[in-house]
Amino acid sequence: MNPGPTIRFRRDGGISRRSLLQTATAIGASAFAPGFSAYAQQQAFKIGWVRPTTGRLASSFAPLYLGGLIAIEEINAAGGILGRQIERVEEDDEASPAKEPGIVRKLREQDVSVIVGPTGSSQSLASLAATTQAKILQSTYAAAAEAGDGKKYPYHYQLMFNTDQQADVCATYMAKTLGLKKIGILQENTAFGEQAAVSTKAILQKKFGLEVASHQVYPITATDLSAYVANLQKAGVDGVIAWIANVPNAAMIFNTMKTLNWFPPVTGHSGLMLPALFDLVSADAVKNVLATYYRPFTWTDTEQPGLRQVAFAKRLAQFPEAKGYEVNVAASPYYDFIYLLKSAIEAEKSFDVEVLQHALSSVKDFKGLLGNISLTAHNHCGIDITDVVLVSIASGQDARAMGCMRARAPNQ
Amino acid sequence: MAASRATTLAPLITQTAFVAVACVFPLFVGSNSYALYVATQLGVYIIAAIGLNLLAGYAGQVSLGHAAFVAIGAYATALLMVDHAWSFWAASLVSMALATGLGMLSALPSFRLSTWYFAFITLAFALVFEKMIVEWRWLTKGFAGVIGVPAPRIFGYEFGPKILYLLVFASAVVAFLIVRNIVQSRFGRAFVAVRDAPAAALAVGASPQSMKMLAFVIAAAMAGAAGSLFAVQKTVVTPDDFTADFSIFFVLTVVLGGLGTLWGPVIGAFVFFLIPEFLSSLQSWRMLIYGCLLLVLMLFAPHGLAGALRQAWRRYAQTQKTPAAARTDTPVEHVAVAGLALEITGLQKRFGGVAALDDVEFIAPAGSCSAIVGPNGSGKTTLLNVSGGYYLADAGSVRIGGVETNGMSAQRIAALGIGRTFQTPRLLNELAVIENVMLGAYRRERAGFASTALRLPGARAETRRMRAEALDHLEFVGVADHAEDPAGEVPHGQQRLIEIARALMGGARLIMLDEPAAGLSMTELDRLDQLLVRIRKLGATIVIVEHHLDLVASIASFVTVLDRGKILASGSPADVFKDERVLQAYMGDRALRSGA
Amino acid sequence: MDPDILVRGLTAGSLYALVAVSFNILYRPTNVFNFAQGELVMLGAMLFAAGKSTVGLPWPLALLATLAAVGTLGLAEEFIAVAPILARSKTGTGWVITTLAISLIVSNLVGWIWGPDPILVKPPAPLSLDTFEFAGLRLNSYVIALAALTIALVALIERAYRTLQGKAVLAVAEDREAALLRGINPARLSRWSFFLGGAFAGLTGILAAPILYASTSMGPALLLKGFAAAAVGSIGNNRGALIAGYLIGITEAVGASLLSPGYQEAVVFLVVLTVLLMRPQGLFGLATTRTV
Repeated sequence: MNPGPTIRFRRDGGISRRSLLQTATAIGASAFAPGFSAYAQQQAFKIGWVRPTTGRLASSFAPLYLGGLIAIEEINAAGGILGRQIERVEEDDEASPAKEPGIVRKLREQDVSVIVGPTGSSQSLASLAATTQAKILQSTYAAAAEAGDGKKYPYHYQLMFNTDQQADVCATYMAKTLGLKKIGILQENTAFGEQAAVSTKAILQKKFGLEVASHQVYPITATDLSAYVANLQKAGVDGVIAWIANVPNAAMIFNTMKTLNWFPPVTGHSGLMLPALFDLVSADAVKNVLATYYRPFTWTDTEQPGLRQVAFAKRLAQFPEAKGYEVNVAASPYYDFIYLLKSAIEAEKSFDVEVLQHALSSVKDFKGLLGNISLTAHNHCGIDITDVVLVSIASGQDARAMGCMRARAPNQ
Repeated sequence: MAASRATTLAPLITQTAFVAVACVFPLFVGSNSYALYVATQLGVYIIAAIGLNLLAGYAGQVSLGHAAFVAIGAYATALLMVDHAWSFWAASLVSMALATGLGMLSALPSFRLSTWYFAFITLAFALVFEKMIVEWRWLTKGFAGVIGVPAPRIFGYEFGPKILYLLVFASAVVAFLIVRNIVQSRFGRAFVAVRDAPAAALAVGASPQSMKMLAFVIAAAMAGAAGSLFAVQKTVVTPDDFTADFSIFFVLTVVLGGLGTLWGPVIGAFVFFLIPEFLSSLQSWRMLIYGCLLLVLMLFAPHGLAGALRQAWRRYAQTQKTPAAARTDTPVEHVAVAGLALEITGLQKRFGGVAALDDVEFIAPAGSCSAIVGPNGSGKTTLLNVSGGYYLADAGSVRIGGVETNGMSAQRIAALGIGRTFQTPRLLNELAVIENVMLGAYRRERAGFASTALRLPGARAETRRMRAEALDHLEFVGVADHAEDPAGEVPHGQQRLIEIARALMGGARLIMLDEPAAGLSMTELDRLDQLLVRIRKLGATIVIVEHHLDLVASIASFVTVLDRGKILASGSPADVFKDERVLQAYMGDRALRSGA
Repeated sequence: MDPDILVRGLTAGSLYALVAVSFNILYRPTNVFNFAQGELVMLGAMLFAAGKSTVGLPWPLALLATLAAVGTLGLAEEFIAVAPILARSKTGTGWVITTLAISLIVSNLVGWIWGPDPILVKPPAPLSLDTFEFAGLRLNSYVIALAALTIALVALIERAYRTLQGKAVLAVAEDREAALLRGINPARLSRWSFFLGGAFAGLTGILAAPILYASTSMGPALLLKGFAAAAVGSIGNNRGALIAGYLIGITEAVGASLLSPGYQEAVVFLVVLTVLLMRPQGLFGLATTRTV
């Protein structure tokens, strides 16, 4: 220890040392803790981002979040929400419902009060059980009608057409537009298939007084689906409502129809529209196949898709990982959810979950990408049935498709 | 299993420290923290893995469908609590009962099928079960599963995450202790016998069927309990939780940790389920890493991580091993036994078209020593096997101590007081010599399953008594200095003596020895000679199959010669060895050889 | 009954029989039942599909390349996962775990390379999947060719076992040590068997691809049905496997049509379990006695 320099320092360099320390602190903070300096201005707004980055479904589910990602990029570039940047907190759920409760725990620990994801009806319902209890605002990719029940899941916003609406559109087209009497149902044995088939039967019964001519339920892991198609044909079915959500199953079914040289009109889920189908099935096998979709993303001989939607399609084309999944990305509720949330926060000037939940319960005619969204305390689905239309599968190979646009069926 | 103090102390401290850390863990984490959630889940996996280890590791029944038992438990608890508002405790009991029922059903195929057939059947079961959970929508609520399982309550007090953790932790400790107690008891020895040497299990009167059934019941009950805890811990029970992969994970867990080691399932579960939580960047490589790990372990460390640790520790401890405590040298006093007579008449046994035994008469009076000789393939061992109930005779009668035994199962015959040794010794190579001898007392030990599992004083006292007695028998046959060595490492000749000690331990009143002298050195042969004389003096009947005619001539009072399944001659050794037919058919070259 | 059931049973049955035969080829000299066989079949289908569509090889070349590749993988499996275990203990069942490990490794590697999407494989011209009606049955030319080829392959393999090398394989299966004394090298035979068994699995995958599509998830189902056919037909018995394959294919089709299609695995499982409990040696095998 040498007391000399210390004394001199105190005498000669006292002030300069203090200022030096202040500078050092400032530099240190900005260099080593950018989050800290951001905190000083405004803390980032954290959104949980639950999607599979590993596992069997990672490659087909992970890109579906691009819509949400684009929304966040746009918002952050424009200065965030009330000055706060949005920050995603990624968690991998491996697309397994079993993982969801643990993931909600993980996110709660990080003070996340809004979650986007998971994707899939059963994953979503498993997650909702935990988020509802924890009062977390959430948007999942789940078509099951139950997920849009605001009484049951008051903090969840479906913002996409559900199985009831899809069934209604498909049944009406078959029975009314085409005037068919012998309608068959072909369904996968999942929660989605089950809910969709039940509403289809109910609607055919109630609205048109029709009984289903043949109802076939197949396991998604089956290696040969020809028996089911043959059964429909034998039952003399002249139109098929198909609740199929994956490409391999769809391919097996349409290929079987081709080998049987039987091409009845088929209507079904938007999952049929993935271009991967055309790797497995020739275009002529799907000439009579229609799927449910959103009006603003469709064209007819006289109408063009919406301008916002076209801009979205162009933006989407810049993401290579979206290739092949454009339709499912466009049909995801995440883009609209982020913007809906932003508008509610800005209207209420609050990030408080209860305040936002209350505000969101009375949204009227919010201009979403998928259509006009209106919510009530009961109805958290939000999509108006007039925005749900049938489109031609084959139009996916049309030059006008731009990935996520499709040709609307006549009379829609 | 038991080793010197120095080698047990350090592992004991490690184990205690581990349990202590696990016990105070909740004090250091938040109630809603992810760490606590994962730790609770780990505890649930450990409970199921401990049960599977008993089944696959000790009893040798590799079940690739263990997830089904957990699933039944989880679904039963979830459905009863959510739909019928049952309390957790009642639902949990039902879960365990249902899983146990399924376990008993799964045990049935294992009675008739070999290990790997059985493994395949269970794998198939796992895949079918996975489908059925989805298919039975009316029961399981299909793909979406049962959601919103409430927390357990006691007198209106709801268990928070920390209390739930402690409940799971306590259950895991109980499961561990129960399995430890069973494994170190006669049941544990019988499990290993069923796995490694089914013939030895039969010889000591342990029915492989009952042992397999018992192992299944325990493993399934533990899986049911784990499933029940799984439901309240996860709060969501879906078909995706219980895929065939989940079953395979459990097998991997146990193999990774160490099949047939007590700490294996605990270590395995830690490594298997916890490491991915830390290494999230390796997530997509996880299954690949598991596959490679499994392969490498199976090739280089068949007893898994626990086995490798134990081996490393032993190697280290070897250098500072203190000699085993000298035991008091009290003269061995063996109680006399009443020998059982063996009477065989008109015995027939055919294999395909070949008559292995053709109208054989054989009588060994109580307390006598009778020998069966004859060329290879003359039916000597078959005669022993039919007498012991290993084969069913086609015709004829076998009476042991006046009881007709033809048609009785081997383990029931053994229970009459029959001891048996085999041509190739059937020892449990991984167990200590003394444990092998104690296995012999399987039928004599009285402590029931419950008192064994809970290690009640009665059971402990009995174990101490049996241990002392086993050591006596080892001294009697002269292998006491190897008592604590693994039986597989003992020289071949002494393994035969251990088998005899095992038979004596069972209180055998009729001992059937299959070529005990084969491969013995001259000194060992002398000892065998003396030993047989001593056994006979105790009063037991001896039936010996032997090629070594000097030995036969020295100890047997009665000799039967078999040739191609028929009796060629019988009588006193002196008479028989003079018989011309015998000399022609059998003695010709052999008499010269052994006479030299 | 619906005559189409017969056609479906015939189609699936041919594939199950082929998988069962590929099991048997491996099993005969080694007494090892390869748990990775399903993934080898899958790999065959994927390699062939990739070779044909991605690389653009003509199909005979893609076929040969696939057989060589899958056979080599089988050989590698023998070398890494089976031979060391058998060297340690002839009767141990450690190979259950090691072959399961290989199955995990192969399925994950393949899944990582190709992803979960199935690849369409067209039958080679002039065969096609287009149905025509014949005697009340709805058939297609590929299914007829598949069944014919299956029967021909089984006949061919049975013939091969009657040659000297084939007899050596049977001798090794009977008694390894005795065979060794007679100058047969069991290690060499076991390597050959794994190579051929692997190649046969690859061929099975190629033949299955036009019907099931080449997909990374086709392994487990084929493993189980193949095992069912091999076990019911008595392990090691190729003619038994052929008959049992068709039995199982038809059982499955009948189960699917009488009950719900979701029950077809359960029906097959129950049938196999019942057969094995009554005759553990299968329908076409001799009872073996325990030896002590």
